[in-house]
Amino acid sequence: MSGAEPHPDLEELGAYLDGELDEKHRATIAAHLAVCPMDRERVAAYRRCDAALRIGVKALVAERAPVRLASILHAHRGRRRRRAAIAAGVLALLVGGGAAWWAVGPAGEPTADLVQMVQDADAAYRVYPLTSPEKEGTLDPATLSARLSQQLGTAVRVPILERWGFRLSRDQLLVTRYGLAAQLTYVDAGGRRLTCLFRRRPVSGDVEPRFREEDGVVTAYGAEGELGYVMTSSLPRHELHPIAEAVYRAQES
Amino acid sequence: MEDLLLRIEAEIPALRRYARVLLHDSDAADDLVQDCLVRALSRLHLWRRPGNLRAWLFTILRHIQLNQRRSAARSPPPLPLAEGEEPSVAAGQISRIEVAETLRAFARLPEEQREVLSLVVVEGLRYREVADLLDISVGTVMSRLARGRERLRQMSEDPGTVTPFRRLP
Repeated sequence: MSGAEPHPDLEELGAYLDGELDEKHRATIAAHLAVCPMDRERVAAYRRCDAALRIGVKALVAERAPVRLASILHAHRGRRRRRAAIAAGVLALLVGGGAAWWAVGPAGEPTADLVQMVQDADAAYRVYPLTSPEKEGTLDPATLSARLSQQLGTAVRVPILERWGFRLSRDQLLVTRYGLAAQLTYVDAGGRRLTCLFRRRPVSGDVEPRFREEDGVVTAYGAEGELGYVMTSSLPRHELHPIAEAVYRAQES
Repeated sequence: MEDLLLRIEAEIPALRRYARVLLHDSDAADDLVQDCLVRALSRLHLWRRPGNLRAWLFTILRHIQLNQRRSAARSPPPLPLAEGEEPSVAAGQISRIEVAETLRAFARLPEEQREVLSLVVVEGLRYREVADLLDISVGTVMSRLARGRERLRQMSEDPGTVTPFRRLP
């Protein structure tokens, strides 16, 4: 069926399609195609196959890349960033004054500060992707708890999440509308990430853990007295649930 | 530098596709991408700015894959794309069936044709870049591409028959 005729060879037709010909050569092929229905059809068929192939191969890989791939880059970025010494880790967190998606409720219900805190945690989770999971993890929870309690002005117990395979890999302070917040980042062996944000609240009162899911990010939040906390992760809800419970209980004692 | 990392991150989907064409197992393909990223990060200083980042990353990925294949001490396996896999998306005037048939035909192509087709048609590399990447001449790139395209066309026109490989004149 194919080309023993005095036509451009198949390689030229391909190069024509791929934009690999110089202007003159291109014009020659175009002129030929104008008068040769057979090659015109062939080029059209190639185009169609090309398009189908593009769609097909793109569909072969899942839409979302595994987190571990991007996290390699994030880890690298984190190292660089630390080296660039934004040493104090105090970064202004700009949060749009968007409408609260949650009504302020009576006692025991989330209050405005807590609602805002969930948004802050969400923003921080997205803004500060990851630290190097292999480098750190040498943070001592007791020392860190003491320091954070002092900085936030209320007792904080740094959660230990090794049971669930999460190691603490970074702590940093954030400046938020309601004062300083501490963001702890945990990473597991698979590169999955979980953050825990603590902040002293302007009001006091217990709020049992609650869950919320948006854009693939699962949030658990609550309050124990003056201390509000928000855990943010892309873990499935059922995995985050027991962890959130443990964090909440840890603050109680 | 930050910008370069973002650009590398943007290439992850293309790397995954290329790896998927090289390896039939998607987990193995992602492992390969992971190795590639790690190595690329350790060699950022070797990246020359006016150049095709995608082609540079592909070169790294391919070297790793060749080494792995060598160390696995086996001849190049046929590495078919899974036959049963059907794309979940189709666009424009190309029907889902057509895409699936093309993909099936693509899986039957010799590996060297499949690789060149994927690099040029799917990933948009220039012939010169593909030649450098695969360490072959531009002429070889063109002939593999032409054979691959011609077979795809034949199979898509008559999906029932697998046309035996025929040398082009």
